[in-house]
Amino acid sequence: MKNSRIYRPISSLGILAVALAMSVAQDEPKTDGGTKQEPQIAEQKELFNSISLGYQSFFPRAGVMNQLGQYVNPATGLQLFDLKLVAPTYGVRPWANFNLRGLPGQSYVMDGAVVLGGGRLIGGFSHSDYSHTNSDWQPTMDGQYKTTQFVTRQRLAPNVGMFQTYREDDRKVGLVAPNANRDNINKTVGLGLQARALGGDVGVQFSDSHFIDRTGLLPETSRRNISGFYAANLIPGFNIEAGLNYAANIMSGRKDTAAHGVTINSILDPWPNTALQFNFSEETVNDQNVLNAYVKKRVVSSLKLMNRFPGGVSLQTGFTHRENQRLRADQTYVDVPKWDRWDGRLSGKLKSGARWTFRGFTETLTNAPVFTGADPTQLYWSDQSQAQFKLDGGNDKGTAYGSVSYRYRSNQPRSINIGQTNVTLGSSYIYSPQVLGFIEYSYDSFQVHSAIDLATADLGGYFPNSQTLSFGLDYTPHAEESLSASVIHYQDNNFNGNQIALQYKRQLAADRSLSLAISPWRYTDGLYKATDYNATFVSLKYSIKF
Amino acid sequence: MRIYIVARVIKTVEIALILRNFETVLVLEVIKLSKRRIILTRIGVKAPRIYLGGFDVPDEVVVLRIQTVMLAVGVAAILAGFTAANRTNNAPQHQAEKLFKRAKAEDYMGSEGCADCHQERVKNFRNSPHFAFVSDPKLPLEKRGCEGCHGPGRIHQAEDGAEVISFTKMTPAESSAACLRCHATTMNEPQWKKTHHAKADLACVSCHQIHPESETGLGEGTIKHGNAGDPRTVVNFAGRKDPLNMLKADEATLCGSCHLPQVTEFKHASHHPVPEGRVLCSDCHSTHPTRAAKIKAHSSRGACVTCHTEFAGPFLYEHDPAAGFSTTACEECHRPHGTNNPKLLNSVTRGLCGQCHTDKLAGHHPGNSCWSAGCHVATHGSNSSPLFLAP
Repeated sequence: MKNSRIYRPISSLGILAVALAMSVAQDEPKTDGGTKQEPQIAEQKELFNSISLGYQSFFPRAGVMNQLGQYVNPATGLQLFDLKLVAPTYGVRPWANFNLRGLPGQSYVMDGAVVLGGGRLIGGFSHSDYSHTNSDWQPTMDGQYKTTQFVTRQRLAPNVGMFQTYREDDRKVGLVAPNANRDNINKTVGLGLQARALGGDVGVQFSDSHFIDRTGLLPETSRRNISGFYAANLIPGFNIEAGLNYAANIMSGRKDTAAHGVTINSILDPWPNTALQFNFSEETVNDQNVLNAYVKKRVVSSLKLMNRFPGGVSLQTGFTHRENQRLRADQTYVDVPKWDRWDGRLSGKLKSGARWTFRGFTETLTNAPVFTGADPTQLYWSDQSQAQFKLDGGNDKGTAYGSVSYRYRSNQPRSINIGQTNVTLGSSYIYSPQVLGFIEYSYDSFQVHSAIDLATADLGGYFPNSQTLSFGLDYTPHAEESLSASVIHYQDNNFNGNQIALQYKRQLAADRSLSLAISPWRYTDGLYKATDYNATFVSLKYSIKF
Repeated sequence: MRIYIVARVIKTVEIALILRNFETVLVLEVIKLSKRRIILTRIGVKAPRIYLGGFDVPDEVVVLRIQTVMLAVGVAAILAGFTAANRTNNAPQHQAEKLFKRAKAEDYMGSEGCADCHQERVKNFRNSPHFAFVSDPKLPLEKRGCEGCHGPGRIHQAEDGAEVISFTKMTPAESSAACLRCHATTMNEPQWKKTHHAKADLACVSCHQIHPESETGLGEGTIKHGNAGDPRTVVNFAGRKDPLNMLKADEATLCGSCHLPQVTEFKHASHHPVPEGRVLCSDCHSTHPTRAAKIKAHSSRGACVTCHTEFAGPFLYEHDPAAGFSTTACEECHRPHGTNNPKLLNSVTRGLCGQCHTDKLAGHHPGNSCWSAGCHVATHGSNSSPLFLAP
C-alpha cells in the first residue's frame, strides 16, 4: 500500500502558534465593554482550554489496510489528539474558539469561530483532511478527502440577517480497474438573506457550485441555484410558507439544463392540540441531453393530521401522493408513475416515564411505468411498507430501550417479496458509583421470496442475516482513576469483525490527566478473502487544561 | 391545458374535478382508471352537459393529475376560516410573546440583578457565544441580557418566581416560540413547526445548551457509557462538540440519545464515518430547514450528492434509482447508516441488481457481481453506455 504520510512540521508549528496566541490573548487585561446595562462579572481564572498530546501506533499489524483504513488511515507516531481553545466573552468583547485534532501530514480536522460586535458578525471555518484506503477486494491507490468551509453571518438589523458560505470538497478515491480512479474538486459559493418583512419572513438564497473532474471523464459542470421563500402567520393558527426555486446546470459540451420548482407548506392549528399540515411541491426539469427516459416533472402533495390526546399520547397520520412525468430525450411522452403513501405515528409515555412509539407507512405504486427491452416487466417496487415499535426509558440506575421494525418491498409482476426484520435492544446499568455497564444488540434478518428461486438462483442468498453486539464496562475505583473496556462485534455469513478498546485513565491533578488505550481489532473477510486484518493500536495521551 | 383533481373511490374508480383552460368548469366524473376510459357520465357546472357515452382520455392529457392537493387546500381553507372566526387577529399567541408585549420599560432591571441570585448560571454563561449576542447594548430591552430570554426581572423578583420564562418548564411549542422571537433570521415558526422534531414535541432546548455546564440531560433512554466509549472514537479524532452551535453533546451522541437503533447501525462493518468523526449527522439531515451555514445540493438524488458530487449528473444515460426517479433514490441500493455488506450496500454482489433485474440473476454471467466483473461499472449513470458498461 502506498503510504504517503509526510510530516509538515512548519505548518504544524504555525497552527500551534496561532492557538497559543489565542490562549495568550485570553489572559490580556479585559476592558469595559462600554455597556452600563450588563453585568460586570469579576473575572476568574477558569480552565476553558485543553490540549491532549501523545503517541499512537500499531503493535502489531497484520493483513491489508483496505478495510482497516476505509474511513481514516489511523494516525501513527507523535500526536496532537485534541486542542481546544476558547476566548470567553465579557460583555461586548468578542467570543472565539479554535479546535484542532491531529496534525497536517496525517489526517486532521480543525475549526474555529468568532462572534463579534455582540453577535452582529459571526465568522467560522473548518478544514479537514482525511487520508483513507478503499474497502475493495484488491489494493488500490490511497484516497484523500479534503473539505474546507468558511461561513460568515451578519445581523444587519434586529430582524435582518445575511450569510455567505464557501465550501470546497477535494476528493481522490482509488478504485479497482476497470473503474478509473476518482479525482475531482467541487467548489460552492453561497449567499443568503433572510428578514422579517411583509408581515412574515422573507428569504432568498443563491449558490454557485463548480465541479471539475481532474481525470477528464466527467464534464466540467456549473450548478447555479436561486431560491426564495415567504412564510407568515396569515391569521393566528394558520402558517403558510411558499417557495420558488430555479436551478441551471451548465456542462461543458452539453446543452444547458434548467429546473424550476414551487413549494407550498401550510400548518393549520384549528384547536390547541390539533394541527393539519399540507405540503405541495412541483419541479419541472428542462433537459435536452439525457438519452433514455428521464423525469420531466415531479409533483408531491401531502396532508398530515397531528393531534395530542390527554395522557401525553400523540398521533400523526398523513397521506402523500407523488407523480413523476417521464419523457424521452426527444421530449415525447413515456409515462407517469404514481405513488400513494399512508403514514402514521403514535407515541406516548407510560406511567414509569418510558416513551413508546409506533410508526409506519405503506406505499403503493398506482400507475406502473413502461419499460422496454428484452424483459419489459416493470422494475419499480409495487408496494413498500414499514412498521416500527420502539420503547425506551430509564431511571437514575438503569436505562433500556428496544426496537422492532419490519420493512417490506414487493415487485408483484416479478414475484419478488423482500422482508427485513430488525430487532435492536440496549441497556445500561449503574451497579454502584464505581461500576457501570452497557450492552447493545441488533439483529437483521431477511425473508426473500422470489419465483426465480425455484428455477434458477436463490435471491435470498444475497441478503445475509447479520448481527451486531456491543458492550462495555466502566470501573472508577476513585475519582482519580478509571478503567474501561468496550467491544463491538459484528458478523454475518460473509464478514466477521471485533473492535475492542481498553482504556486506563489517571487524573494526575485537577487540570491534567494521563490515559493509555490498547485497542485490538480484527476483521475476517469470507467473501473476497482479501481484506482480512489483525491490528492492535496502542495510544498514550497526556491532557492538560489551562 | 387540463388539470385533473382526482380522488380515488375504489381501486379502479375515481371521482374527478377538472379545471379546463382555467375556466372553472367543474365536472364530476367516474373514470375507469385501468383503461383510462370514462364509463359513466360527466356534469359540467358552467356549461351543464351530460355525457352518456364514454370516450378515451388521451394519454398526454392525463400526464399530470394533482390528486388530493386541491382537496387538501380546500379542507385547509375551510378550517382556516373556522379558526379565523374564532380568534382575535391581534392577540399574541405565545406565553413569552404575551409577557414581553405587556412589559413596561421600568419592569426591566438589567442582568446584574439576576446575578445576585443566579451567580453560577451567569458565570457559566460567559463561556457561551450566546452571551455575546444578548450583550449588545443596541438591542432593545426585551432582547437584551438575561431578561431578553427570561422576561422582565423586576416582576419576577417582586413576586418571587412569578412570570419568569422557564424554557424547560414551558410546553415544547411555547419554549421554541420564545427562542424564535430572536432567531428569525435562522428559522421562523412555520419552518420549525413542519420539522419532525417539532412534531415529536422537542424544543430548541432539547438539543441546545444555552448555559454551558448545565441542562445536560439527554434523552431518557440514553445508554450511559461512562468513560467506555466506542472503540472507533478511541482510535480516531471523533466526538468533537461544536461550541458555536451550543449543542448539549457532540452530534453523534446527541442525536443518538433519541435515535437509538441508528447508533447500532453505525456499529456495522460498513457505515458512514460518523463514529470516526469524518461526517456529522447534520451533513445529511437538516434539523433546521434554513440552516444558513450549510447549503446542501438541491437534487432528485437527495443530499447525498453534496459530498458525492461525481454522481450528481445528469448523465446521458440515467439509472432510475440512482437518479432518484423512483421514490427512495440512493437508498434503493445503499443503507446509509450502516450494514455489514461492503460500501453500505443493501445486499452482496449480484443480489443487489438481482432484486430488480430478476431476469439477469441466474443465467447472465453467473458467479460475479455485476460491477466487480468489470462490466456494469457505471451503475450511478453513464455518459457512454445505456447498459452502464465501462467507458
